[in-house]
Order: sequence, then structure tokens, then C-alpha cells
Amino acid sequence: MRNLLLHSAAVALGLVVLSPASVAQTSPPANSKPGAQVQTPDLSGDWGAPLGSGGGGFIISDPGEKKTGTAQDDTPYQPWALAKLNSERPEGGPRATFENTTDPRIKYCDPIGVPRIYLVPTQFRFVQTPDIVYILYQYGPTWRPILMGRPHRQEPDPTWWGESVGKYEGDTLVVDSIGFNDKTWLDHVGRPHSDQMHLVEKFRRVNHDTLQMDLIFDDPKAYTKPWAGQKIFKLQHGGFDDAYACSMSEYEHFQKSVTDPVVAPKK
Amino acid sequence: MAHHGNAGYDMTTMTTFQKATITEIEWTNPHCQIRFDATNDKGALEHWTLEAPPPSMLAPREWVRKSLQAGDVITIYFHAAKNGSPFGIIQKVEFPNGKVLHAYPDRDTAPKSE
Repeated sequence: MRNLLLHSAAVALGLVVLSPASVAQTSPPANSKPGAQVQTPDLSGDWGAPLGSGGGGFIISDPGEKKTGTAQDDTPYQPWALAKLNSERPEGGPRATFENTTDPRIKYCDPIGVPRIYLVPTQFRFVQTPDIVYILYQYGPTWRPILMGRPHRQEPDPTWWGESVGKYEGDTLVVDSIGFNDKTWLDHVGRPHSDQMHLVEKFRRVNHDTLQMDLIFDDPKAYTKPWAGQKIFKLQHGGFDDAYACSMSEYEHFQKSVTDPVVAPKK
Repeated sequence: MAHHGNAGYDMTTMTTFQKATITEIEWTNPHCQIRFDATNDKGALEHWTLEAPPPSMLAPREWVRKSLQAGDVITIYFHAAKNGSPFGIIQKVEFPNGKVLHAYPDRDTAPKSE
């Protein structure tokens, strides 16, 4: 039933846009029937935020970017989720503060999680094999395996990055993930999620230099109904090999040598 | 522990020193740090520290660890701290030969959180 609702939501939101462009014929996966041909969209290249966009932004917003990450936007929070959002002390967005942040990735170098990893100004790359699509992230650096053509396990144990299965729908890579813990933020402003989050990421190369990612968040424990997000990425030229590592010792040094004097009261 | 955002800087004003002498570079996360000395318009020597993007962001903008070295004299552009302390967030540097290295792209709006 939930899958049906999710599919309906996706169609209603117009998120499934198929095009014959940039689709290549490739060898079938190992578990396919003999002679079958699978069309694999070419997602090669390094992807990142458009130049001048100020990194990746603060939130995963809807296509019109009407969501602001505040209590006043139309995100369908459950009451506890809204209370948790309002209790956070983020360093980004309209409620940004430099002091006493509650952001787990800054406070503890916790894994940033998905989809928030798409908001940091770093790059990512797909490695497409027949059985597994790997998404390599410059941030961390870290990677996620997307198990192609397989169902989810029954109630996978919760992890930072969840369990992801995938398939191609025309020119789109559809990644379906469950099995998350509830420790990460969805974005830089502190939107929460629960361990029931079901996340769908749809990646489509709309032209050679542009990758569109559509998201559907289905988390009835934290949100009253599924909601959508979208981000556009541009093909990057260089820099992917320079990993961004989260180091508590370097963070602490930066805190003492820059942040503390910058936020100190004006003399 | 905090490090991101630019709420502490005056992003509406660009500060410039035309003869800034680099004293130290820290090529680290979450942000690189650039320290320099410069003489203000009253003739006093000032010691400044600027935050910069992390190495992973500077690299595609043609920066390397040794792009700036202690002793280099350059023109430096940055947004200063609102509290009047000698700190800021760098925008770009210009070398005596006219070469410019951007830490952030020039744009109408200020760099957002990174």
C-alpha cells in the first residue's frame, strides 16, 4: 500500500519524466535472462552544485524552492518533528547561529547521511556496474552501494546510510532506500527524520552538463504525508580527487582560532 | 563545536588591503586559514586571520597548498568580522603580476554556508 501511495505521489508530483536522451545499450546484468538488453543511462562524470550557487544550499527544497526550512513553510511535519526542528541550533538557514550548535555532523563529525550529503559543496560520482551502482562522495569520503534489481531485505537493521536498492526506469536511475537510523539531519537547518524514513532518489541527466535529482520523503512517523524535493547538479571539471575529511581535531582548532573570536561580543 | 556559516561576517562590505604580507597558511578542514600582516590607513600594523574554503573546494578553483606562501605580498579582498576583530572570510587574492585566484566566485550575493 505504501509503495502504491508513493508511486501515486510521484506521478502526482510529476517527478517521473522519461526521455530517450542519453540512454545507452549495455550488457545485461548477471541475473537477467539470456539475451535481454538493459538500457543504462550514462551518468558518468563528477557532479556538484552549480558554480555561484553558494555551495549546495541549506535545504532540499521543492522545485519552486518555496520551502525555507522554517516552521512556516509547507513541510508536513508531525508535531514532534516540528518541535525538534525548532529546538535545533543550526549553523545554516534562517535560524543560523554560530554558538552552541546541535548539528551532529559539526558537533561530533557524525556521518552526514543522505540526502544532506547533496547539500555540502563537494562532488559525487556514479560507478555503474550491472549488479551494483556505487555512488562515490568526495565528502567523507564515503560511498553507497546501490543493489540493482534486488528487493529490500525484511526489516534491515538501521544504519547511518540505510539500505539502497535500485533500478533504471528509462533514462532515470531510481534509488530506493530504507533502514536508516534517526541520527542524521535531512538538511543544514535541522529537519529531522525517523528510522521509518523511506527515501527515493531519482537521478536523470537532462543534458550533458546537468543532472536532476528528484526526491520523495515518505516517513509517516515524522511527516503527515510524503513530500518531494529536487536539486540540480552541474558537471564539474576537476577537484573530485581532493577528499573532504571530517576531523574533530581540525574542527576544534578552527573553532578556537577563528570561530570563537568571530562570535565574541563586540568590544 | 561550530565552524560554518557566515553570520559573523559583514557580507555587504568588501575590505581590501593592497599590500598584504602572507604570514601563514593552514591547509585544513573544515576551512583553510590565511594569516597576513598589513598596515592600516593610520600606519599601524595589523595581524589578520581569514577563513577560506576547504582544500576540496579550493582545488577546482586552481588553488594548491603553495599558492600563497609566507612572505608573499598580494592584494587581498575579504569580508571582515562584524565584531571588529581582525578576522574575515576571504573572497579573492590578486598577485603583483595581475593573476587573480578566487576563493569564492564573484557574485552579487555573499557566499553562503559551506
